[in-house]
Amino acid sequence: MPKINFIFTIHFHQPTGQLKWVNEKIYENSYKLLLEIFKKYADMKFTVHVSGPLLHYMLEYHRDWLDELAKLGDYGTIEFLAGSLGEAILPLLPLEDRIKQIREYVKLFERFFGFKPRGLWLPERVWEPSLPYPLAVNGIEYVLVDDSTLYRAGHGNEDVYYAWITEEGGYRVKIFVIDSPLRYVLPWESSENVFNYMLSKATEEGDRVLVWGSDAEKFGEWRDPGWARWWLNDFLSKLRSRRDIVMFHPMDYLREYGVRGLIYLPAGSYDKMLEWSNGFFRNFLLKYRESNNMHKKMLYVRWKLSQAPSLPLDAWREYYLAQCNDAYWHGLFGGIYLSHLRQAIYEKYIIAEKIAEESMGYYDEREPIIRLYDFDHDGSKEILYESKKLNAYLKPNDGGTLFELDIKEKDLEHNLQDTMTRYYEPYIEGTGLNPDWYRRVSMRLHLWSRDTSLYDWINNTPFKDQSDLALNKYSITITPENEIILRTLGGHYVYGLEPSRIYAEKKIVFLDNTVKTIYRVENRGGRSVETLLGIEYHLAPKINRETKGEVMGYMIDNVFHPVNEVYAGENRRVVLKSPKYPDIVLEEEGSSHGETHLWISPLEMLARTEKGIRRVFQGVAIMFVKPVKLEPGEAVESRINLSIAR
Amino acid sequence: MRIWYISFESIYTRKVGGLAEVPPRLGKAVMDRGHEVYILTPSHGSVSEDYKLLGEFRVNDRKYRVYLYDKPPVPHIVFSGGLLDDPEVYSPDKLLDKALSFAQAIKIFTEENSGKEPDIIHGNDWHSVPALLALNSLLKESAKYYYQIHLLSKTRFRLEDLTYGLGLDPHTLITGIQGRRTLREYYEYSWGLADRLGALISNKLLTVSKDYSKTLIRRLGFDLEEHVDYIPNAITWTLDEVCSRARKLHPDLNIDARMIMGSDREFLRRYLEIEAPRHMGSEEPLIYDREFKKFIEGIDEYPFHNGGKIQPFTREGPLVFMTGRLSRQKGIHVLLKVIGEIIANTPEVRILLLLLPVWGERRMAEELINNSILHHENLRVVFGVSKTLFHLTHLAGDVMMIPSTYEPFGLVALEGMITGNAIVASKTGGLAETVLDIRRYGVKGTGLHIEPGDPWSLVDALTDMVLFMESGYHEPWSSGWWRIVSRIGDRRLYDLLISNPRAPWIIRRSSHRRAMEYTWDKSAEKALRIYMG
Repeated sequence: MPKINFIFTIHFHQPTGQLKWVNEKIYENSYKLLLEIFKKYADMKFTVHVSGPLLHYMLEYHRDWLDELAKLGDYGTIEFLAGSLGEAILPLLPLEDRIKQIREYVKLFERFFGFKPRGLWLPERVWEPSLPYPLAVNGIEYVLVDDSTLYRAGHGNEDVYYAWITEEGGYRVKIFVIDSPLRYVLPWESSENVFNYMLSKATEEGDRVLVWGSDAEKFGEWRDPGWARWWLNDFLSKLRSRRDIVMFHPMDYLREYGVRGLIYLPAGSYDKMLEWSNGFFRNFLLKYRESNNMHKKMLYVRWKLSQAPSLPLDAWREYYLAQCNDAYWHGLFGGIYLSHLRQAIYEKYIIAEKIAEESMGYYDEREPIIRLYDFDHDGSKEILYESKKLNAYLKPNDGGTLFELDIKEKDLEHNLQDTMTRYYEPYIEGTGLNPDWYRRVSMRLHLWSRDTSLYDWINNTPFKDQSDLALNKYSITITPENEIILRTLGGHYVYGLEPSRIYAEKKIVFLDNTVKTIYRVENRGGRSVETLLGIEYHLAPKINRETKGEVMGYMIDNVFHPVNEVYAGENRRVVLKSPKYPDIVLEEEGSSHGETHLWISPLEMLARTEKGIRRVFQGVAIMFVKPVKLEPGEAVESRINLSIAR
Repeated sequence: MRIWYISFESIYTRKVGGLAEVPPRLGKAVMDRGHEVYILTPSHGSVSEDYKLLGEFRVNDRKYRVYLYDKPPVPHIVFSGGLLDDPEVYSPDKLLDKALSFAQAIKIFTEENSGKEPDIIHGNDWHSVPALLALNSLLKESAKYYYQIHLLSKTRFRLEDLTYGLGLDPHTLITGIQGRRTLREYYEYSWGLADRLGALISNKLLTVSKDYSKTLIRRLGFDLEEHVDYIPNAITWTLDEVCSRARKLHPDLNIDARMIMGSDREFLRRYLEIEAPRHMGSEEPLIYDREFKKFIEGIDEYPFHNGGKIQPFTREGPLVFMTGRLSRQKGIHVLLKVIGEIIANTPEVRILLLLLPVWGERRMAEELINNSILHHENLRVVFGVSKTLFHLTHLAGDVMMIPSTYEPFGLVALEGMITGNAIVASKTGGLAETVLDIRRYGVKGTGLHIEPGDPWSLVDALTDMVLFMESGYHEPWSSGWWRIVSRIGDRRLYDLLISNPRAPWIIRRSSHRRAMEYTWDKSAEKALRIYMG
């Protein structure tokens, strides 16, 4: 009788920064249900991975659920897989972090479960050939990769159904291969269809193994829990009585059948991930500047941590949890377009950074520190302004903009500049959304044509900006008083007229809770320039991740507007309000020209989520608009303060 | 011996670059050893009533005049007429014709002055190659020929340039490295390359530094390896002379050598940065290139005003300066890549560039102008000659930068050193020899070497050198001193200051002494050794 072996691997994961009510909903819909199923079918063999961030959450809120799982482990129902503490994409990390991510997960797991897992769930199954070392030194014997990774190495379909061994530098790890066709039928088709597919791979020798590995949320969260319960009962009760499909734990399979032989695998992941990332996970860092920003913040914080002579465990734990992958990429779920995930990443990095700074005496009577450093590793240096109260990072060669503004005060840790640019995604075709032509950050200058409206700005109507000030490279001057002055020479371009030379300057002064910026735009050309001077900010109000339904918004003249509301009118002051966080005030303190308008709009992306295409909030877009006519030699000046109300 | 130095430039007639200094200075030192020396040079419109007419003649309807200008320490024979009077010394579209006219005029002058032929003919740079060739055809083995390259050129001749242009038959016999061969043969063997032809028809190919000899061999052919030697340039200034020149223009300042080598130098720096630009004369800056002058006069954005003059700095700070031609060779493009970074690293720095404009480099000039506008707290550029600022800058400076991509000798380094500046210079050509790296030589050093063409190496070295020198103006171990010293990135410089806080002043004296080692007397001795074979 032809026979096939079957490994059923369920991956439980919720990211760092997940909204508490979402975690609870998923727990109720899916995780409890799966526990029930495991108990009901305790004679069968399940393979389970609980990610580091979720393990932390469950330890805090649902320890009983973990107790039950542990019991099932003891009974032999479940074989547990290790992971990385932050469910981080291991190849994105410095080598030492790869090792530590696994080691810290195993330690945490062992503290609760009392033993060390021998296999490991690779986050997003992102494999790179350098992984055997950090796996092997942590005692990990096997991992699961996807069949697409195997195919990339030139292997054929037949090789998917065996375990293999690979090495790098003599460090070995065994490989199981997740079968993608099985993932497309289980649990989406009837049990019979799934069995038929499985049996199509069966052999007389009976040494093949089909590996299913995917998200727990497929059972109860993606579709309704009633259906999931019915499907699993149907599938498992029938499977229980079959002799031709044999459930295995990975370690048992290895004991019984061993590995097929040596294999070498290139960088890879599952098929869809390869599609989203253009073939290589690291491409996400190139596509999304915000992803690169977080990643390079990680490297920068790591440098500080590594300089500190001694650190409390919290510092490293916050750091490892901030490496959680979900906010660094975008595929089927919101990913990087989910503001609350990005927010949590920054919070944790800022906390870790502060601990490191304190421990190493970073400021040591020389606060603030203004550093020129190629923070984003693009070959040009950024300006990093650092004090005990805030970090402000400026990018001279991208319009002299502010791209990170970390509030470091205790319990208020937050990157106010954690806003997200709207990138081209295949699914926005036909929706009318124009991707942004510049990074949606702050302190960007525009010279709009006089007929430009708020909607032209926020919807990216082409050719409305008649200057190159927005994207120009700005020069850097740092005064002895620690003011930063950014300057550029650009032009005002109108079809049919000679370009007019424009001088632009931003003088930035940092106070404890305030960033004061004096903008000056001067017409140095030979003709008059009629324009709408636009001074642009995008800000990320702090999202309350604990409680559902609290409304964020902004106040104009003491009138509250929810964040999804648009405002355009003559005004100079806006106050961003979010629950449990101080007001953020943006105000034109003074100007050489009287009339100032405010354009305010939610910055929203049409992002793909598990619930379909949704408008997803990325921040509040604010533009100070000044209609001006500048004769040759004339200038307009505006002083704008951004502050945290204390 | 009667020795002729053929040169397109002389400080006594027209100066554009460092070449103008060499033949008159070397000539004078040779003359002092009992030889009869003349400098042969085009007038470039410089003829004045001090010039004595020696003769005139016509060639192809062009009238030429030959003058003796005997006011300078070495007598000059100045050739005038036609293109030779064009004030733009190196006008690219006329340069070849100018060099050929110069050669023809020299040839006829020599023919008409039989009995006064030279024993040694020492040509300088490719503009002298047609003259060397013409004289070689005329004087044959009765003279010895030396061709000295101060700056390699990519100029190529067509054979017709040399035949029609000089009135020579392609079969004319020429004496050279291959013995007596026809002009055509030497031409073909030279690949038309002016510098190689000059080398082939000379007894020796000369240059100005050992390091640059290697460049010559690599570029002109390994068959010349045994044929190359060098005569180093030498310092043309004394500190007292420079002080005296500056004193004449700024009589109230009591500038003298003692002041320059002591902490009073800071006073002079303050004056230069905050006051001196106001005193630029109405003709300053002097710009010879008409097009460029028009271009500069069109700029009136702060800190420029009134036809290329500059506004003073508003605050005093460590002074970094640079002199020389506005060209890629001088590394201006390297500096432009990182000027923002240098200023951001050392916000207190004041950078003064005194550049001689070259029209072909207008884009680079525009970039410098934009940078001056954007970095107006820190950067000033003077395009053209400013006697008000030139010597004073050397006397007030802290660090001279020479980021040249290549530099056969780099006389400017000696000028910077004799006036007590530390030098940040590319490790190339003569600069590799004249400048002694402090990281290797300690307080006997005179500056720091950087990788030619490497902007980041320039940033690091300049930042460190500025801070190092600035510490000299602060009380050792005071908090102000520590604030500066703690910013120095290079451990060796930091350690040197910790062990000896007076090091910046010792470095100034080491620089001065090092420059004094390069004398024309020593160069003349070497030249005569070479001439005598």
